[in-house]
Amino acid sequence: MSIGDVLLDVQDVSYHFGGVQALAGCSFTVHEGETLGLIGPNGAGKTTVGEMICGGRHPATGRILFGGVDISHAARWQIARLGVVRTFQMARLMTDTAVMENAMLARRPQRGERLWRSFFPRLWWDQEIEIATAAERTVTVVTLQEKLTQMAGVLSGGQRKLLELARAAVGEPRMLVLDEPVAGVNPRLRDDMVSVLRAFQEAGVTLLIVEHNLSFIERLCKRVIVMDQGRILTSGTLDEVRADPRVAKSYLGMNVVVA
Amino acid sequence: MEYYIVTLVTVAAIETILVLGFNIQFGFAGVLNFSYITFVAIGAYTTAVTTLGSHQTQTFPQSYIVGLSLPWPVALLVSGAVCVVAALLLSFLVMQRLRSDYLAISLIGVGEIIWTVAGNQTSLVNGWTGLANIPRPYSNLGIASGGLAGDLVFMAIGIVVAVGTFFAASRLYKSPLGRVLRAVREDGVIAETFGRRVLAARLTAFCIGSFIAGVGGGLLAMNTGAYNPNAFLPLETFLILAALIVGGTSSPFGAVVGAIVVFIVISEGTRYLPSSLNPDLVGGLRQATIGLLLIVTLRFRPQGLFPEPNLRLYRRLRSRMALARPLAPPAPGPVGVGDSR
Repeated sequence: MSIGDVLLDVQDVSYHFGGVQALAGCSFTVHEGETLGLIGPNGAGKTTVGEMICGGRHPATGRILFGGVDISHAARWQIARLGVVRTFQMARLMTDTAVMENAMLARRPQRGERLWRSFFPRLWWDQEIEIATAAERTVTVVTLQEKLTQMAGVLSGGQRKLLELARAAVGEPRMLVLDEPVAGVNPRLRDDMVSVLRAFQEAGVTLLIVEHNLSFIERLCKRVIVMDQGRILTSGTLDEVRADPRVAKSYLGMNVVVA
Repeated sequence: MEYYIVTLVTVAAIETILVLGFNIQFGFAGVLNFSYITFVAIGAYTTAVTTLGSHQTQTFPQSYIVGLSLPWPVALLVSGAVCVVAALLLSFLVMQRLRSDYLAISLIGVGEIIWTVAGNQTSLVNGWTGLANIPRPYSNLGIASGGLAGDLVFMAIGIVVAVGTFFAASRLYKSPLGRVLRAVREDGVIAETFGRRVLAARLTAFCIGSFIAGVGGGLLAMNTGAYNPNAFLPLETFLILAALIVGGTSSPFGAVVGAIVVFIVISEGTRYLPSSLNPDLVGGLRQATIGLLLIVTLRFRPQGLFPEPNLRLYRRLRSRMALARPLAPPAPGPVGVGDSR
């Protein structure tokens, strides 16, 4: 998949939690169809940037453009409607409903969500079957097909992360923001995740992966951005970044295993 | 005896309607409306003042506002609509900025205010004395022959409305809108992450539930023929909540069963206690039994007698998919994720 125009443009964004400066003038761009890794030590501000892009937080200064639209102060649902889908550091599912329901919620718009239409299944049934088929297919890809009609609450931590990915796929996103997708996931499931994310790449979805695990990043990202103390330290390929002494000092010096 | 049974069935139908409305708010969308009974009261009073006619026609003096004599179906619909307007006004005041627990508390407050005003401002709905002589549709039928025809017809009206409400609630549950309501109930952030507006969804459920409360309240007022502020003490909301928890929160069928268990089996069952008991004890025992039932349910079967039919819904959907598959054209792949293996 070739890399297209700038899709996400983060311009000089800052944010603070009370007195703690989480982001101090952070700028970067993500191109359409690109997979960008966002790495850095704990507390670097990676997750804060990810949440900001999805509308969970709003920048104190600076702005964020998505496809040319200013989303700095847009609500979560507005940004979601532009085609941004995210996964969470701790997988967030509707644990009291079926796995299938979790996956099917992701598609939008759905005809049967209008109040008056909801009483007439005839008006939305075709679409329901279509979405259910898509949900079944993606849940099968992440090997959870046995669990389709069980409560999402029965899934293990790793399975929950896989379901989040399947759910994101049903949502047909333009851009997917992944917040530590492999944290707490065993190596075998990690391989599953890589292949699922490769499929996203092949489909032209822009990916922003916030992650600690460098070997995982290496398998997916051509370009990475290193953050430290709320700033962009450097960017480039993973090899270039590794060669940078500042990175070694702030990150790789912290006893992190480099694959 | 026949009269007793007809009365019981009518009451069961009306209480079922009320529990179903509460279920849409609390069970479907997680909006805990502790002033639900106030909406029932608004519906009851609206029906009363739109069917009683003008003051001049009354055989005894009672003061109330409006004073129309609308046909009963119109009056019921107006009652529902007035409740929706009240719900919208109220949500404008309290729902926008409040989390559901604080919303519940402030709604209790709103209920108390309306209760006090209805009781003390006599010119509105005749104060604490309440309104009497509220006409019941077809109550004159067969009265000459001393038969039950009028009661039977009203019972049938109650059943038809209850069944209609049940099917509407079931369809809502199964629809994509029901899915959005459940998403909002489970985790608002998930709903927003997938482009749904939490406030809009909660408001939708709040308004549907209020409409049903209004219609149910109207039927309640017609059935008893009289309505005063003692009929909507805050405790009544908790009885409806108890019925829903016993039957099964968010299951439409559970709501029906819960309404029958709490409002008929227990309320009427205590009537057959030995007559040697102190009469005051009977009312107390009734409430104690409902409380005990609630505790037993929450301890041993927290999902209620009939749990949420969510898994069944998706099992059924999958079997329908299997039927649809040979006929339907291949569905477009979800961003090609299926193609990688």
